[in-house]
Amino acid sequence: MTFTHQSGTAPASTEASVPYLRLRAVTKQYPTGGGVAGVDLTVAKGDMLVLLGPSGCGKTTLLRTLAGLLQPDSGAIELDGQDLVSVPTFRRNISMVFQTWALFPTMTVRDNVAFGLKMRHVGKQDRNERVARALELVGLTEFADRLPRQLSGGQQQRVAVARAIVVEPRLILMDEPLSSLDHRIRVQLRAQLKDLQRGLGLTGVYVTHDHTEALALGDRIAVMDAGRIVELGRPVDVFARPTRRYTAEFLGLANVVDVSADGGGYRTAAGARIPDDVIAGRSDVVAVALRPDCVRLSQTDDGGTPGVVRVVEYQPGGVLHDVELTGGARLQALTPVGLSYSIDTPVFVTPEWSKAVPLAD
Amino acid sequence: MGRERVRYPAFAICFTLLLLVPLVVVVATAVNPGAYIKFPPDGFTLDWFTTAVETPRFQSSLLLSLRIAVIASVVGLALTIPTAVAITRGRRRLRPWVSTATVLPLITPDMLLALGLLIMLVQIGMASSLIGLVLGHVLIGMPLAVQVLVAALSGVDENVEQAAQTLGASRATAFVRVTLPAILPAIGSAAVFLFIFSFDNVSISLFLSAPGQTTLPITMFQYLEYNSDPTVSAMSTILIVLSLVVAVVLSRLGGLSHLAGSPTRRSS
Repeated sequence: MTFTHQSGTAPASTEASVPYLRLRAVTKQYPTGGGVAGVDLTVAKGDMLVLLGPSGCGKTTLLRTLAGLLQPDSGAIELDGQDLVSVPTFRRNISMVFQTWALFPTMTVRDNVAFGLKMRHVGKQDRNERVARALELVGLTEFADRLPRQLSGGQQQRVAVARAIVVEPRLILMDEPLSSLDHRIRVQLRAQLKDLQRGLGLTGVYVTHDHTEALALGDRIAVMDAGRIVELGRPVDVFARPTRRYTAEFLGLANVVDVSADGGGYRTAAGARIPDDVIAGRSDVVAVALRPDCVRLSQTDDGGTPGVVRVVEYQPGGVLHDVELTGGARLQALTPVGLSYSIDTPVFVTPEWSKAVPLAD
Repeated sequence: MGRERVRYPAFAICFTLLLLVPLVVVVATAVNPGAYIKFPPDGFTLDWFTTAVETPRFQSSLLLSLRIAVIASVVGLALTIPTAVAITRGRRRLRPWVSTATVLPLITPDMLLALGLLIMLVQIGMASSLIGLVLGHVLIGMPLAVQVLVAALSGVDENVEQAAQTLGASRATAFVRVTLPAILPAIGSAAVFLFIFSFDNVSISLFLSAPGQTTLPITMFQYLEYNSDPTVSAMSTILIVLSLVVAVVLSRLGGLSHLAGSPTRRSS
């Protein structure tokens, strides 16, 4: 395995038949609370799995357990059919990119990248070539002789990535590697990271609390809450059709409206009936998610619920209105730029319940 | 190092001069031609320096002091580096206690420490041995050395060592290859502190020196009891010059700035 993979020849992410990495009932609890409990996961070779969740949900604990920096209390971790738990960190051949990047402060960029190869006793000539190639991949060839503190944040991050990939790890772990960067650089590096991972056919686990990052990088996304995985799937499914209220609320992309069963159908607290084909016969529905662009606003009384626009926010996809309905409930509505209303405008709100997504608890 | 240039206000300059006055007096008395210590000196001569260097008592005790100081630095580092690692990497709850305990020798009167050590060494039959003296000197220098090292270690990102482990380094290798180089300046500072605390020490040496094994400060003290010629001033001047060299080295290594909580070397 060298850096000769082209983007097209990388294993397709949909061929998820053979689990490359498998976690079974992995539990790691802290006496002070937190940690993970009974996590089952599989990752296919060449896939990038994103662990998404708020701070304290256990995603970093899980990642450190994979790296061997933490020992699980119970459960099994297998990589390529081999048990990992009994293997010490330095023999796992699993690279990790840290949130703080954790570059070796006294070593030059070149020595930082060469470190893993030195530890593997790779001969000098081979080592130099591979370091040069890795630095070229991340575009830092001319910075090879600098010390980490002489680099910008984005550059340091790229050194950390180069250092991690140069050893051709069986698995690459990333712990919010972009979170301490400016937005613009973050977006830029995000794309480079995805490109690199695909191009090299690397299998990865990526931890983040940022759902845009999860969308951009993940072949699959695992949403975590309080040490458990509550939702797992392709990014498009998790985002467009979340199945749990927690996920919908955490992603914050849609209105989450509580519903309750009422004589064979489901109604909102305000009394609106949710169409039966939305519920699709499920019995565990406690709420529905409704994207803001499925909420219509009008200034003339078209039978909608009356309300007042409280907050207006310009977004790339239109104008987001936060509307206070009579009775105090709030609903977000997205309208095209030309059709927006100003703050304190009385409006009539018509949610298209047929486009709602049912949510379990 | 692109540090911001500090402007020294008048107060700081006055204060510094005040601190230096005794040293200036000592240096001035060393060049007095007469066989007595006098300030201001009556003339100028360097004869007392020759006398000081040629006095056998001074020669032997200077050598002894240097030897003990070097041994104390080496032994001290061997003890303080693991201690500092244990404090920074150990259990968080125990950290303040261990940290306080290591500072105790600094705030206890030296006399009491010396007395306690003497009693202890007599009990185990090691009184009047060089080992006892070295131990005492290490004890005196340890608090500051530990603090310097702890401050430096706290400034090293813990993830750095873990990153080295994920790249294939065992824990020991990771420490030696990554953490140790990062705190090398602090280790230098700690060694210098251990050296100075040993070299300067009077009270511990007073209790623990074996007969015929007097360190330089004790010899100078004894000499002053019966003599009043500037030989001691000349010897002191030599020591002052040596100390200045050490001070420069120390400030180059970061010295006390390690204690002031600015050891981080990560770029902003």
